[in-house]
Amino acid sequence: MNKFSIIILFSITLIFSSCSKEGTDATFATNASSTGVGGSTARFTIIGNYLYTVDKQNLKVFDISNANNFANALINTVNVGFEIETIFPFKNRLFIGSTTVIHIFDISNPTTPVKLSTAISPTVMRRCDPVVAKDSVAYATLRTNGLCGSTQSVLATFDIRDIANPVQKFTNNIQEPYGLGYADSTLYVCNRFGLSIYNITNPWVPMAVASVGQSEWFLDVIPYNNYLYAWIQKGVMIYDITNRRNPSLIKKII
Amino acid sequence: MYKRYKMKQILFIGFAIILLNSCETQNSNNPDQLRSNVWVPIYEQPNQALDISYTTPDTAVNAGRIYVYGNYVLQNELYKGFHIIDHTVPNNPLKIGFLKVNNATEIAIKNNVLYTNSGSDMIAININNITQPVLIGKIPNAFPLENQEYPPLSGVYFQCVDNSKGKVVRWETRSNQKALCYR
Repeated sequence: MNKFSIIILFSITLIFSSCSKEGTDATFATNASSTGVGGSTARFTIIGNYLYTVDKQNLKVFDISNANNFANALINTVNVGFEIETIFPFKNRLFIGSTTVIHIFDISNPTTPVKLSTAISPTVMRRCDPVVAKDSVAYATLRTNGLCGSTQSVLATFDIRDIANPVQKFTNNIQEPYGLGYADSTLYVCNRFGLSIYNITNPWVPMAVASVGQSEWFLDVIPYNNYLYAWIQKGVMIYDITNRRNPSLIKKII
Repeated sequence: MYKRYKMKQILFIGFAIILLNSCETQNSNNPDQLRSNVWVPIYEQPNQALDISYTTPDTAVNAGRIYVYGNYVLQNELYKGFHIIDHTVPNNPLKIGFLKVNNATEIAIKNNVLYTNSGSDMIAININNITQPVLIGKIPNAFPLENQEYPPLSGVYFQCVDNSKGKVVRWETRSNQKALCYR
């Protein structure tokens, strides 16, 4: 019976290591070549000349090398499965989160995603949001739901060296987590009551070091150069993270 | 008795997960309680025209995902468009305007072209001049509505969907509402 009561809802966010470097200083006023940066809960992601989207069942590939021909940009539709929620690029792979599993696609040929595997966690029946990966580690937040038994949500790390078979390495209790992101060896985890900050110098064992903004409901973060942009329920919080583990609030914008 | 109830509940949960592939919805404990932040489903209305324009900044009501593009931060206002925040001055980011795109929920930008959705349609908008956004392409039904049977956030109370009223295209929050569903 305990098995049922330990069912945990799952929220993985793949952090991808290059995300903080992808954008440049382009402004709306220029035509400089640049690509923006999304968070861990995104459904759209651009890699090179391709826009990848996930809808309820499908991964779609749009060729955006000529934006003025967007009406004809849809070049591939790949059926993925059920209840697709997020898409995250990590190296030459796409991690597609659904409510039950993580689908992993190879995009070495960007127009033709090839499904490598479906990762299923033996302990986690359902994941809700995002995943972030850093080299051989994936950080996940597993969010519980009262009806589903457990009352404890956790931050977990997974060994993804065998990317098809993530192995849980570590868990740490956390109140009500959402999206996540990292900058260097600092991990930021969104929480219903603030932003939790972890030292991931030892990537397998995150150490909680601080928490900021406890009066806000944090939903996702984008670490970008020396700034941390956070989606909160009421708007946006912008922090200076020059000192990675001591975010300094620049402004809350509602 | 308690144990028996618990077992039933657990069995129900197990079935719910296996059969429905979802265990997030539950009935709220106090169906008659008036709540302050209840999500209400908005049903499809035929022939909604695409509405793209730039307007003055506004306060976020249902704040959605964020996206960073150079010195700018865009935040989706669910089903309405995007708040534009200029962070050119490091210590003084400012909300400068609002890009109206009705029924938009997603975003990605490359080379000053903003890719988003308006409901089920994929659209591309040239934002070389953010104050004069130009629609440059549209692909009907390339982003089929998904997960509209639930509000866009979890941990919230909402009015249960009545499928007889048609497809749910978006959700809005309202105060002083009863809510039978929670997710």
